[in-house]
Amino acid sequence: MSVSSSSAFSRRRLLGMTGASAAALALAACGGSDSGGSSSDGALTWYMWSGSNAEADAWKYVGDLVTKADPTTKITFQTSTFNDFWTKLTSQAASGKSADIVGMQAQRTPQFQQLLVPLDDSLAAMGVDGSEFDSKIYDGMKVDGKLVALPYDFGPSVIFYNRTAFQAAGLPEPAIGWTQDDFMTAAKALTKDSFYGYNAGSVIDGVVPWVLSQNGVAAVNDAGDLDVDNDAWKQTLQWYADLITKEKVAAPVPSANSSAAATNQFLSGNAAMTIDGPWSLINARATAKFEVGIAPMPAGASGSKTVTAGSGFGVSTSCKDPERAKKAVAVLTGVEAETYLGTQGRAFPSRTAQQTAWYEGNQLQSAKDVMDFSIENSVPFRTTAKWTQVNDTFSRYAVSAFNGDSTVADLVSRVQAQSK
Amino acid sequence: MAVTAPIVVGGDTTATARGGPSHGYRKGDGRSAIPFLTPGAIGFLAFTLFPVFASLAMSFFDWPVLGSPSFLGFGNYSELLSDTTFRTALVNTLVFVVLYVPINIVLSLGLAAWISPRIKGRRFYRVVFFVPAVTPIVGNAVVFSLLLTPNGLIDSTMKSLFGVGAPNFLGSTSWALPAVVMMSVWQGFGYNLLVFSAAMDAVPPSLTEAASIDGAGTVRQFFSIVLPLLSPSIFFATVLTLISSFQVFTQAYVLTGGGPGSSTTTLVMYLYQSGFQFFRLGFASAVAWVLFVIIMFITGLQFLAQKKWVHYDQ
Repeated sequence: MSVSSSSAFSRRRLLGMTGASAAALALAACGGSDSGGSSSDGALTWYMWSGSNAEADAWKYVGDLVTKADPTTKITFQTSTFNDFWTKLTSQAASGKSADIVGMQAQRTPQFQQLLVPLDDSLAAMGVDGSEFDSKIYDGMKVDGKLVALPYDFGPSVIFYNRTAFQAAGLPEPAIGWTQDDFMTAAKALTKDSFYGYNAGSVIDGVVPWVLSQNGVAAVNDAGDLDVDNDAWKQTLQWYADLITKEKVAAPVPSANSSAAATNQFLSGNAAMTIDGPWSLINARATAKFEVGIAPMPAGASGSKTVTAGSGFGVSTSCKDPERAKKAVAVLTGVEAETYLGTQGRAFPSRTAQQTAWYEGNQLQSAKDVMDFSIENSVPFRTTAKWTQVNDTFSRYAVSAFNGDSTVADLVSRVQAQSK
Repeated sequence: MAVTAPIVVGGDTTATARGGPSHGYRKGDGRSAIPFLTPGAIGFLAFTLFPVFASLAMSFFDWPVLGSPSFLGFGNYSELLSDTTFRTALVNTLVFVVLYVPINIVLSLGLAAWISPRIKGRRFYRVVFFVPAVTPIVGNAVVFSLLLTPNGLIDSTMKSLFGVGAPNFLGSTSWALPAVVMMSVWQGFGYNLLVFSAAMDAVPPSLTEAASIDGAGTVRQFFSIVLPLLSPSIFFATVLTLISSFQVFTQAYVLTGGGPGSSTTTLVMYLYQSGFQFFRLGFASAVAWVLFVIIMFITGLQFLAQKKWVHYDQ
């Protein structure tokens, strides 16, 4: 009896201990899920978006280059999809636990500048020569004159077109020097039933190049302020809405939620032209069941003008070993990494000397003239600290304005209200 | 405090099960219960209780994601009063609730009544109707957006049958919210159907038999016997459906992104935008608490009103 009771007691104790260790494990798991924070043992965390396993593997390869350059540095790669990336980065920043190195889009730098360590004073120690980068994207990574990230890729917004459809219709293919009249003629000739000449998305990024080419202004003025509630914007937006409602060369905008729908309409063969960047070109050529060509923006009253956007890597302010992280960023955007990313078609290199890798590695020599021309005629995509609000408001209200449910004047005034 | 309460309860039941309450046993069981309860209690404290109070505290601050918070008092709440987008979101949510809840309850009740007699393939129908409820809502929404989009299945079918296309459901300010309601009903009725179907099976056949001997027809039987007996289930389903419909988010997020304009921006959508797109955590918390108070109030009203129409006795 006494034996059994003592064994019952010990069993209870044992169970108790199991419970306690389960609790400890749960706590440890909580601690382990903290993604940020580095230690002095050379471990760095790197957070970057990726859309597929192949893309993530390419980043891991680049991450290994850091360890190759300095064996004391170990990089842990963390990733999520592009859309989740910004939400997660924000919530990590809120808890002060960002990864040491974070991916950053040039047009989002004003919004995240507080999260990023300025790199200007460390460039010499990092072994970085700023002049080796294309100045448009290098400058695009500056906020108030301070460099907050080093770019790995960039590219001008250009027109993607369905070569097969153009050839079938016997139309001259868009090329350097084509005008907005040519654009409209082609769009009208190509539109038939549910196949449209142009894919008019509701995302502001896809509209800015049109405003630039027609009226010479962008969304942000020289003073750095949002400036869209003006005649230039209204005129271009009305023209753009007319593509859908009056000329009927573009499909009605389906809904406000997805910018991916813009390229999908093109890639699925439902629209002959769309606006996109070189970062999508390799994937577009692999996915589309037709030949994809690229052309610069058709020239309007202000010429053929476009914007360049791109992405890079910055060091977060919560990093405990910023000097090590800065050196790692230099490797991630270094010559070897850029050559690899370019050859793989993962990125159009921001380093001018490595851009040939992109053309040669992907049989894109034919695109070189268009790319050179578009880069030359581009301005960096300037944004404001509240760009998310601007982008979101534009997408939602553009749907009703472009479909004819409301006016472009209403659209620009609502977007302009996000400047405060 | 939350930790000690369940321990006493646990100790009690064990002691009773062993045939007699003993102070020594109680104590011992209580102590060994602690480790078992700790994981759950920690989870509850860390992931439920703490966030609840943290969000209440945050709603009194201007709390940006980057940078330091500053105290506002009731500033966020008074901003809500004059915020037109919030008002639109509130109206959209109410319209959604007013459309969704009755349609959902009537449809699920109707279909449950239809498959309630021993009709052939009844189990099959139950499964079929329940399938939408268990498929991921995001997947459903993506499929619906493909159906509803211009040149999508509905549009092209209508074009080939009638020569007239369907409206641009998700891109039109007048159609977007009804489209979201439609998708939500399709997604949501299966669960209530299952609840009602089970409750109808529990109706004693002796009652309906007695009624039919007294000359009551099927319709009379349904409204005078089955429906009153179903009232606890209807109450349960209504409360839960109402709460979940006030919290509608995913459908609008995936189908329309809250647009066009703000025609499908619901309260939770606005909360998400404020907190995670516009980085105003304090303001978003204030929205959450207003929503909580609304849901609490309406659920309270339902509980008061149930005394009048819910019959718990058989």
